[in-house]
This record gives sequence, structure tokens and C-alpha cells, in this order.
Amino acid sequence: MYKRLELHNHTIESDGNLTPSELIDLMCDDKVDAFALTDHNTISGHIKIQEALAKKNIPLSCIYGMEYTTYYGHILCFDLKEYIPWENINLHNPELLFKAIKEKGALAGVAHPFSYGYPIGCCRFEMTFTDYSCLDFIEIFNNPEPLHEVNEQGLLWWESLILEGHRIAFTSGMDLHSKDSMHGQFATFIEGKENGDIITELKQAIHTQRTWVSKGPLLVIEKNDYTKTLYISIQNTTKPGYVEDERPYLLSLRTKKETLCFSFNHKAPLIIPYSNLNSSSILIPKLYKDNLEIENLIAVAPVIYL
Amino acid sequence: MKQIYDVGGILNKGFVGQIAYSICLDQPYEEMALSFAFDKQYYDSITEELKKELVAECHGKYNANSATDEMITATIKSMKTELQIIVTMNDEFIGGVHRQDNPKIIYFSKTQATEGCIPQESINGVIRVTVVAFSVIQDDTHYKLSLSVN
Repeated sequence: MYKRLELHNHTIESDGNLTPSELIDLMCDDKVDAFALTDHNTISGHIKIQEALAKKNIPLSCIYGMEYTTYYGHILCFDLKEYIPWENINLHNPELLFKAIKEKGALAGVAHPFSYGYPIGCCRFEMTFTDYSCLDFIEIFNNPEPLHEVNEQGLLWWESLILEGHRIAFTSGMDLHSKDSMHGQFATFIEGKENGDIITELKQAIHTQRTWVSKGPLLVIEKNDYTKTLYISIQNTTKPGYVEDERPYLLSLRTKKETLCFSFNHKAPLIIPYSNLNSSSILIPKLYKDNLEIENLIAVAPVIYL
Repeated sequence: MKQIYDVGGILNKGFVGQIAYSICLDQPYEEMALSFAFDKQYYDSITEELKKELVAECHGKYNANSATDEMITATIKSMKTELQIIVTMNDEFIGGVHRQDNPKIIYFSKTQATEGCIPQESINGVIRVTVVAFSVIQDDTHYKLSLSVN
């Protein structure tokens, strides 16, 4: 099964307006499988969410994390069991903090990399990596941020790193601070089992770069090295707010040299022989309707390595 | 509550970093409160000089060179000095207050704590209060910090 995750959420423990209990209710109402608690620079909400979940006895999992809000950008962490000091962060060596977080078993990624930074704010990721292996993921869609100035740039940055050969997962987030609708917004999906441990499943997904970001339908691609074909289908999810229609989907496969495009219907899977992929070894699959403008992007699927 | 520490300072425009105060408690306490306040959080007036400075500092980012006067003014109005507080006790994190309140009152006891903070069975040992400066937009920005216990 696929599990829907909302990986970027705040409460009154930092600068949000929702109590931990209200955040749980909002996630429940929108049929989310698991959500992350990512308050700015505090873990004080963890125990409150644990207590509220136990009290409500509902099938919803929490991923305990934090959003490190630093002088030079924001870092999302998942499965953060303790507060790791960040104040000595080095503009020219972000690896130090990322490694410290990872050594404690947590996942670390860049949030809204192209948000406003100096001199207007501190939200843009201004640090430069020399070692990308310490970066687990990039939040390619931070839903409230401007589509072109921030999210498209984030997507293109992640794509460029992938095409350079880096193995980095991608996520999306609502960056919830209040009771906003999640309909029509990107969510993160991972593979999992009905009673599977969400932390184990998330770590597996991030470490193997098997995440999906979608407004609803998932683009599922299976490689068959025996027949040398890609089998492409659409998997519907229960994410509210997405309405399927009869317009065909456009599959885009971005490679180092070009972007290949294929039209197909959600009812009929698409089979692409490797020979049609122009010997590309890295393909970034994305799903659109109508055309390949970012406004029409529906989903991003895990990278295909041939 | 008795106040046991009172300090203040002046920050210059552009300062990024932190200032940490360590307070050694003479005995265990049941409650602790911190008060933190600063001035010049926002610009009082928006001058032509300020607008030119902002556009120049953006170095072409954020479409600054093509921004209208209205957009530049709105951006300057939204800019702020951002100072946050992180509190540790005996090197363990006990609170981080990210809300933009000014002044900030931060409270700890056995059963209660301000949002962002964790209740403490006992307040004892060494309290370290870190003033974290994300941005300081004006010179001569004064801040005051005090700590009280009971």
C-alpha cells in the first residue's frame, strides 16, 4: 500500500496557531496516514502529541521532528529524539550539523530552499554543500510558497543534483501554521504495510529515494530488465480534493540530454521499451495534464536508474 | 519570584550570531521565569535611502531590480529584527521560543512551561540563556534579559 504523509507542520509550540490536538484532528479529517511534527527549534510538542494520540486512540502516526531554523536557512528533521544544538552552524560547512543530526539516527533535509533570504528574511537555504551524501532529502514543494520563484527553483535544483549523480530523496510539505485546506496541494507518499512502523518505512523510503509527491494520483513505474521495458500506470489514492477526469496524462522523463514526453490514459498502462529512451541512464519521471508547465504538474515519482 | 539576574546589551545592524549567558543557581528552585525585550523591531519610517539600500543588498535576487516602489515599501515594512531565545539547563535543552512576541516571558515549573519549553521537575544547576540573533535591521538595538526564580 501507499501511505500519505504530511511532513511539515507547526503548532503553538513554535509559531503555529494549532494546538497539538487540533493538528491531529486536522490530519485525521484529511485522511492522512502519518504526519510530522516540525516546530521551529523546539521538541516541546513531542510529548504533547504522544499524549493526545494515546487519548484519541486513532489510526494516525506521528513522525517526531523539528525544523531547524538557522541563520542561513531551514533544515527539516524526522525521527529526532533529542535536541541537537545548531547555534554554531557554519555558513560554509552545513555538513557539520547535518552529520550531527544523522549520527543520532534522524533524517535531515533542506526545507523550501529558495524561499526569501538575506536581506529580507532567513528562510532561503544560503549554505553550500561540498558533500551531498549528508543530505537525505530536499523539500521540492512547500505548498504555501510561490510556485515559480520558490518551488519550481527547488524542483530544478533537486533535478540538477540527481542528473549529476547524487542520490537525494524529495518530499513536499504544507508548512502548516493554521487550519488550512490541503486540497489541491502536494503531499508525500511512500510504500508501506498496513500495520507497518512508519519511522522504519519513512527511513527506508528516504534512504532508497522511494518517495512520491502528488496532488492525488501516483505515477507508478516498474522496470522489467528481462523485457527491457518500463511499465507505467496510475495508482489512485484517497487524498481528498483531487478529481480524475478524461483528459490524458502526460508523462515527462527528464534526462541529462532532453525531456521525453508520452501521452497516456489513466485507465490504460503505458509500456515504453528501453530502446525509446535514447540510452539515458537517469530518468526523472513527472506527471502532468495538458502541457509540461509547472502549473499543470500533478506528481513526481522516484527516479529511474537504467 | 526573585530576580537573580538582569543584563542588557546593544546590537549593531547586520549582526548574526548568538550571545549566551550562563547563570549558576545557588540552590534548586521550583519555578523560573525569563523576561526578554528589545527595541527597534521594525523600521519606524521608510526613507528613499532605505529603499535603495534594500534593492542594492538584494543583488538582483527576488526580482528586486524590477520591483515597484509599492512592493519595496511593503517588503521593508515586513522586515524585522528577529531575536529568539534558547534555554538549556545543565547543557540539556529545556526550551526554544520562536514566537515573535516582544517582550517574551518564558516560564518553567514542574507541571507547566511556556509553549516551546518543557516543564522541569526541578530548576537547578546551570541555566544557559542564548539570545539568538537571526537578523538585526538597525544599529543601536537595545535588549534586556532578566531571570527570576522561586
